[in-house]
Formats: sequence, C-alpha cells, structure tokens
Amino acid sequence: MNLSDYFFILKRKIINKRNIIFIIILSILVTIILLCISIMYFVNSTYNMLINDIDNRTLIISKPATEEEYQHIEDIKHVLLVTSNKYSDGLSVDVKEFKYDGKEGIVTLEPLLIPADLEIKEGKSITNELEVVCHSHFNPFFNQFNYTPVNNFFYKDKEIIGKEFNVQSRNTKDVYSFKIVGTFISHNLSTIDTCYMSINDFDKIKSNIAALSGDTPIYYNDLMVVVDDVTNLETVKQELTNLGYFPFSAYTLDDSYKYMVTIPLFICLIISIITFNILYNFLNKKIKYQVKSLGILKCVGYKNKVIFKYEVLENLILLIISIIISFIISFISFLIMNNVFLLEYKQVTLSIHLPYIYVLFFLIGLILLVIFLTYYFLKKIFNFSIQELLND
Amino acid sequence: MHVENLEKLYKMAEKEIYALKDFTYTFTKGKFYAITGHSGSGKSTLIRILGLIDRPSKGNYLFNNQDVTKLNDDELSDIRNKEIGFIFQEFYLESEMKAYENVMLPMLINPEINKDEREQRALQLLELVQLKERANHFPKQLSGGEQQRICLARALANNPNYILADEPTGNLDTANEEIVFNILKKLSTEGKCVIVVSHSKYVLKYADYVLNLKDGKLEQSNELK
Ligand SMILES: Nc1ncnc2c1ncn2[C@@H]1O[C@H](COP(=O)(O)OP(=O)(O)O)[C@@H](O)[C@H]1O
Ligand SMILES: [Mg+2]
Repeated sequence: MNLSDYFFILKRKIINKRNIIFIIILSILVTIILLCISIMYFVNSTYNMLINDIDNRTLIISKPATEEEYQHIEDIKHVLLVTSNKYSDGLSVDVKEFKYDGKEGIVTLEPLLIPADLEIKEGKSITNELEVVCHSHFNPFFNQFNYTPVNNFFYKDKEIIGKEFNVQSRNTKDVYSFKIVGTFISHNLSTIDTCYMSINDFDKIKSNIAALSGDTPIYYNDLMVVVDDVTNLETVKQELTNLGYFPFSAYTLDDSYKYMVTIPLFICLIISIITFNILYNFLNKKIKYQVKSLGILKCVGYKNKVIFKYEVLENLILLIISIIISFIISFISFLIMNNVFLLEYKQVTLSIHLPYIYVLFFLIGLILLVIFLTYYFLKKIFNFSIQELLND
Repeated sequence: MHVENLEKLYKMAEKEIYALKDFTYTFTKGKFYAITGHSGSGKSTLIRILGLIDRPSKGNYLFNNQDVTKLNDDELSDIRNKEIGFIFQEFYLESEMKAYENVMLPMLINPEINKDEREQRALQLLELVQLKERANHFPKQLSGGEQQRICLARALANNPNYILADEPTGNLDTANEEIVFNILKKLSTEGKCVIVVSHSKYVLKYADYVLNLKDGKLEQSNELK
C-alpha cells in the first residue's frame, strides 16, 4: 500500500469536527510554546551579550608609577589589554555630511581596542589610517528624534561604504576626513550610530582632558584593564588587589536580567504539560472513536502495521497543520513585537526570532511523542479480537 | 476448507460456555452451504472462526490444506484479504466513504489488483449488485438492503474463493433477500464456496447443503436436491 492509497482513505476521514477543534487547540498551545522558547532564547542571548560587553569586562585602576609595574599588570593571566581609561568612552560628533529633515547627523566614534571582537558584515575591516567601520544598521539620526530612529532612514550596508565625513579634533582643531570601509555586526549594545576607528585615529580627535574642574583640567589618569571573559573578572580583580591596586568595575550589570528567563520557562513548562495532556486524551479518544472502523479494516485484511502507518500519517498531518499555523502566528507576532515593542531599543540591533535549533528539537520531540502515543493506544486496541472491535 | 473437532469456549465470570463443540466438517468450492439453528446455537461463532475473524479454542482448521491455527495475525490478514469475503448482518460499512470507495477498500492492500483497475472493478461489482447508479452515495443515503448489497460487493472485491455471510438477510425485505441469495447462488455455481448463516426458510431454495447446529454441536447435515 503506497502513500496515495493511504490518502484515498484519509481524504474522506480527516476532515471532521473533532480534528478541526484539535488543530485549533494544538495550534494555540504550540504557538505559546514557540513564543516562550523564543523569549527565553532572546532574554538569555541578550543577557550573554550584555554581560560579555567590553564595559563589563573592564576594571579601572589608578596609573602605576613605573613601567615595570605596568608590565606586571599586563602579565596577569586573562588580561587582554591594559590602556588609558581615555578609551573607555566614545566620542559623539556632529557630522554635516549626513543630513535628514534639516538636521545634521551625530556619529558616536569608538576606538577599536580588540580587533578580534569586530565581526565585519560588508566591506572590510580597518587597515589604514582614517578608516572607520560602522554599524550594519547605521543610522546617525536616532539621537535627534527622541532616540527613536526615523523608521525608514536606515543606510543600506552598501550605501554607506565609501562615504566620507569630516571630524574636527578636540585638541588641535585640525579637521580629519574619515572614510567608511565596512560595516560590523554588533555583538553588544553599541548604538546604531557607532563607528569604530583605530586607536591612533581616536587619539587624534579625542581630547586628553576628561573634565574641567573650575579652571583646572582633569586628565584621564587611570588605567583600564580589559579581561578576556566576565567569568575571569573576579580572579583578575583579586590579582590586582594583591598587587596593591583598588580595582573597580567600570559598569556592573544588574543580575535580575538573568531571572527574566524564569517567567517564560515557567509558562513553557505549564503549557507543555497541558499539551501532553491534550495530545494524550485526544489520541486516546480518537482511536477509541475509530475502533469500529479499525475493526472493518482488520476484517477486510488490513495488517496491524498498515493500520499503524495509516493512523500515524493521519495524526502527523493534524500535527503538521497545527505546527504550520503556529509558525505563521509566531512570525506575525515577532513582526509586531520587533516593530512595536523593540522600537524603543532600535538604537541597538535587538530582535526576537525563532531559535531554529531549539525549535527543531521541540518539534522532533513533539512528532516522536505523537508517533509513540499512536503506537501505544493502537497496541491496546489490537489486543481485542476483530469481533470485539466491530461490536464496540 | 476442512475443520476438525472445532471448539470455542467462552469463559465468563462464573460459568464457561461452549459456543461450539466437536464440530467437524469439510466445505468444498462450488457449493452453497446453509447453516441453520436456534438463536445461541453457535452459528455466528462458527462462521467467524471459518472466516478467520475469530480463533477456535481447540481443534484443527485446514484452509487450502494449510493449518491456519498456527498462522500469525499478519498471515491471517492476508488470507482474509484475498481468499475470504465476509458479509455481516450489520453491514459494517465505512460511513465517511462513498459506496464505490467502500468496495475499493480491500483492493487497496491487494497488490494483485492494478491501481487503475480498482475503480473500474468496484463499479463492475456495484453493477453486479444492481447499485451502479448509487456508486457516489454514502451509506447513510442508502436503504438497509442497498447497504447489504454494497457489503456483498465489498466481500467480492478481491475475487475470493470463499464467501461467508452471517445472517445477511436478517434485516432485509424479501425483494432484497432474493437479490442477495441469487447473487450468492450464482457465485457458487461459478465455483466459489458460499456459506450462509440464515434463519430464513427461503435459503433452503438455494442451498446445496444444510447444516443444523444445536448447542454448539452439529446436529445434522443434509444434502438438498
Ligand atoms: N463474546 C462472547 N462472550 C461470551 N459468550 C459468547 C460470546 N459470543 C457468543 N457467546 C455465547 O456463545 C453462544 C453462541 O453464540 P452465537 O454463536 O452468537 O450463536 P448464534 O449466532 O447461533 O445465535 C451463545 O450462548 C452466546 O451467549
Ligand atoms: Mg448470530
């Protein structure tokens, strides 16, 4: 018996009120689970992104007196970079070359401290003087419009590559012309108006003065120590303390972020249990409801394994229809969420979407569960004689 | 088709009932057998065992010289599909499927019938039971007599050598009864083995042999001339 023969029977039997109600309920449940998985993944990956941001891996200490002491700090295990705290803050500059609705653009310039951290999307990385790499959703106007980016105003990657803009030095008042050579994918919360440049170029335009206190300028006199991973932060902190410094974190992430996962996780678990219950009861009732029909099939010579295949096919079709509906609803939900709720955060590239690997695991699990339950309930039915099935 | 010392024991909560006991007989192709007896005499039990829908508690059953009591479920299914056509008093048609689709049901799992012949064959069988114009009706839309004839057409789907019927005309009027018995008679003269359980006196007009059961035992068997 081949597939088209199964469909010959199925086409008459699959469309009925029970199955349609089942599809509707299952679609809703699977949608909720998909949304929960996505939200969990979103919260978790955002948290990881935040916690691994360079700001979180940076310790500030006062400058050592000698070159030797400086060397000691660099030699500490897990320390990636030791440099002036001048580079811990970016620099916002007005850029005349970008204009929208009568307003000039503002670009946040950052020194590229760890080139390995930069993932290039289009174009190339910084190789020469006066080259910059900008955000892949580059928009130098979000600042001017209440931190809401002008919706339609995003530069396409290829549009901005090759563009040049002028920046006046805060030290010498010289004007430097920078050229955009590439775009980067942000793995941290850098704003969408960010461009990275080399440390040397950054020195040219950023003043050494951090602030003016009365008439006296305050210079950037501290050191920033960048650690390779947040998990090693405490160890390095301890080492620095042992050397006689008083390190403090440049920025500490609020831990409560992490616990935002628990709510969707909890919902996901509850809905999973409900889904299992509904699958169990529906498949059980469905097969009981079909007992007579199965008796007829057995009577005219259908083997158990043919009946099993037929039942699995029918149940999987119902399941797959539900999954497709859930996917469509999820996609629409994400579209709305990404456009409405995340709009506020559009200065950074955050978006919620289906984490395909986890979704795949979930779906495979669901399919296996349906096959197993079908087998389990049919097995019970096959213990009865044909006459008992027919008498039902 | 030869059965020997067939026995069927139903174990109830407190008592045991022999629905069939010491039944020995040989059924041959080309003959029309009528099985009669009072209600509860074991007729249905017998024909279900003969039709491989039920297994005997004891006894031997040679089907085409093959001991079917030793076969597994799948092997029995194969025989039911190709060699046996079974007709029930209650019809047991698939209510969601059209008449011709019901008739096609046994053909779907029979590789000997070509895929594109099936529908043609189903329509021919419906013509045989005089229901060709009702091919696209669902069982609900048909009368009892018509449903029974669909059931008969389905039993003939794979051209089986044995046609077994358990009170096929129990719920029918005489006009329908006559149509059904005529077709069964014609099949037996064409070389099929037809075994019919019936209360109807009418069946004696068609049968070659009549077997009378009493309390699960074969009381007498007569050849009718
Ligand atoms: N599934 C069953 N369980 C218990 N007893 C049964 C069952 N089927 C039939 N019997 C008993 O076996 C006997 C024969 O039944 P049956 O073969 O249906 O007789 P008939 O068809 O001649 O009326 C009856 O006494 C009946 O009560
Ligand atoms: Mg009976």
